[in-house]
Amino acid sequence: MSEMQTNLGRALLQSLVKLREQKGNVSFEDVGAVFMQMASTMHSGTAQTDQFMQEEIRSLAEYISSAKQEILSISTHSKSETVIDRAALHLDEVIRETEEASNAIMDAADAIQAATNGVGGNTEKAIMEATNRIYEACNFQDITGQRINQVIKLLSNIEERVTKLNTLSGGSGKGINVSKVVRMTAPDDKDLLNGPQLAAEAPTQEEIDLLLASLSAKK
Amino acid sequence: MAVDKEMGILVVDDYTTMRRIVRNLLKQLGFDNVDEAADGGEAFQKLQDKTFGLVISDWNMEPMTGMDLLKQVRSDDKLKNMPFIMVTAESKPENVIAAKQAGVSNYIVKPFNAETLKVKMSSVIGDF
Repeated sequence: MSEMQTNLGRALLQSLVKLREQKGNVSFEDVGAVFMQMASTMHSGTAQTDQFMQEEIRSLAEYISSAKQEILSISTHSKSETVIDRAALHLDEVIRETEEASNAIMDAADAIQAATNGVGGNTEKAIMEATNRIYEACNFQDITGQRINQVIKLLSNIEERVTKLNTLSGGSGKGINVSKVVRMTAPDDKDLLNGPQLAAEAPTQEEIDLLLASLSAKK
Repeated sequence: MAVDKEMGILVVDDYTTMRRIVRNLLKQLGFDNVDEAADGGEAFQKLQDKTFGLVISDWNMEPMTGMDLLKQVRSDDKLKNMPFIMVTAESKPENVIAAKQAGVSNYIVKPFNAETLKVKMSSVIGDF
């Protein structure tokens, strides 16, 4: 690193420290302004001007400005709720609607079972088995619900980060409500609550049985 | 010893559809004396108030999880020997190990079918 680069780095750091002392907090916008100021100073043409450093600083300042605009465009999309908020609400609706549909399907299965009761023979047996399979298939509502809750949790995390970035870039952060639909979990087993795994990664019941058996054998 | 099909079974799950599915499957297996709870806290209260022969519980519930319920059951003098089956989508080995260490009687991964439920129940309470 050249002496000039070291001096530039030191000057940048000093500017930021000074700003922090003055304002208590340095925003994303402040960092961009310091970069821009340094770039324009260098452009004034001292003998030590390093063209490469000048271009890098200018490019970084432009990137910060552009990133700031993008963050603001996300977080000020709507006055009362963010895009992410709306997506979470839609996913909540999906959970509610699938629950209603599952109950309607099971109501129908109940009605079929009731009507079949007393028919007797293979017909009754076949119908009962078929309606049992309907019940088993309704497992999907719980599993999809948990998967959707995982996505909602992820969206909430993104939303929180966007809020922080928005604050750093000079925005107020107001109008952004971190979704409250994330399930609360007890702190002691929180790390174990991961929800359903992807089908390709999830152990089968047989693998679980083997693991349980091996744990029992160790006792 | 034959299994008493009149024994009370407590089904614990925060999803009403899941409670309904398990209740129906139990009915098909001949168990009609089924009660329900929506989380660990409600379940523990019911376990204090009434006699049950088996608990079938989900893990991921709020405010009290199935894991917390299992720990409370195992630390309660009156309930510590209660057969307890965890029925959950949490299928990572660390979950199975943690449940086993907490004293779970058997572990069923969602989604499951009537046959799996029957086999696991038989291994816990005996053939029926």
